[in-house]
Amino acid sequence: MSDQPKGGTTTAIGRTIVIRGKLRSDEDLVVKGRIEAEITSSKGLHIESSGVVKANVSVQSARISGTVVGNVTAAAKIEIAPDGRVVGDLLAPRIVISEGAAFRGRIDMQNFDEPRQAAYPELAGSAGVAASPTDYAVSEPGGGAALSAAAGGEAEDGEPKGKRKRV
Amino acid sequence: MAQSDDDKTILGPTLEIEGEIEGDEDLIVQGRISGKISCKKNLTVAGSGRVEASVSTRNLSVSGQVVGNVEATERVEVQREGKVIGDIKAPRVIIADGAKFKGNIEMGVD
Amino acid sequence: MTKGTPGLIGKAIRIKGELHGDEDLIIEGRVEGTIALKKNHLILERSAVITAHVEVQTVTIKGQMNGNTSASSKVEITAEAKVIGDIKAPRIVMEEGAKFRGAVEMDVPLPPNV
Repeated sequence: MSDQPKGGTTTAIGRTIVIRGKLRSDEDLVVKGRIEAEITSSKGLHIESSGVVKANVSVQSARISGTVVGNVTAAAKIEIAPDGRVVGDLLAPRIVISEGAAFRGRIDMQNFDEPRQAAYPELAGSAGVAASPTDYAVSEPGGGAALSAAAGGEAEDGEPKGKRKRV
Repeated sequence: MAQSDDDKTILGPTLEIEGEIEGDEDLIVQGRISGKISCKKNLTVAGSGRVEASVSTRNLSVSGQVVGNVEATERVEVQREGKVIGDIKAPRVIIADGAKFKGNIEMGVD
Repeated sequence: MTKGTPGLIGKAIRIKGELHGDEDLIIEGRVEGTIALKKNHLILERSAVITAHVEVQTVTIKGQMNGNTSASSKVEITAEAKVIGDIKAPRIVMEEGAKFRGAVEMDVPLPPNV
């Protein structure tokens, strides 16, 4: 049984443990028990199938295979794994909901408006041109499909980068 | 390094918990706890542990610091590096040479 | 009428109004209004731009969607998709990289002690 603190540790909160109140952490947390405490962590949180968190959570990243009733905010990523059950709002730049997961609440990705590729035109529509992610060069007269090379192509310039294929 | 069994929980050094902890398994505290701890098995306050709470457990071993009243159904052991401020109530109490203690001790007295 | 091949709305097509039907559909173009394919599967391709409420059995969203989705079976949002709106379905899958903003409503069976 080591008594000295070490960096990069993981705390696993066992199945029979119940914690109420507030919890702060600077290490990865694995929860197999029940936490009715607000969790704030600069590292990762993994809620296992037996884990139940009934409180708001604010962490670096979260992987949920158990149950969360509360809002989850993550600086990096939230993943609801196949056994995960979440009721609450999710706020993170990347969010994954696996097949089999159950979720009810709002989702907000802070980087939502960042252009994924070239800027999207307003959704309301512009004259005759479909949204042009750079992977597609659209509005070819005659409506044929034309594919330019993957991300990074400057197809809008009229200067095709990479091959175009008629489909 | 995470434990894979359900036999014990280690609350790591960067953990700070305010509130109540209850458990039916061995518990090792390496961080800071304030409030109340109820452990039905063995509670260890490691060298880095700082507990400001009322503690109720079966066995207690303190190498860190406990401020609060402690009740154990079997035994309380304050190690050489340990420090306890508060009352101890347990059938058996061991305070090692060098340990720091201030408070009352009540052992089972027939 | 064969249900073998899904219908296709090509990339250069723009529809404004109500779209409803009884067959599977792939949309590559723009649709504004409502889409109702209650017993069918809908695929919104990467080039699709949908400003509509959608009611389907299943939908795979790979493109851009602005509107509410209601599926009786499943909604899948792929990594390239960008979705604004609410989703209601028994099963929902969202890939890493998908952009989404809105409410999600699935049935969430909670364990008894929660």
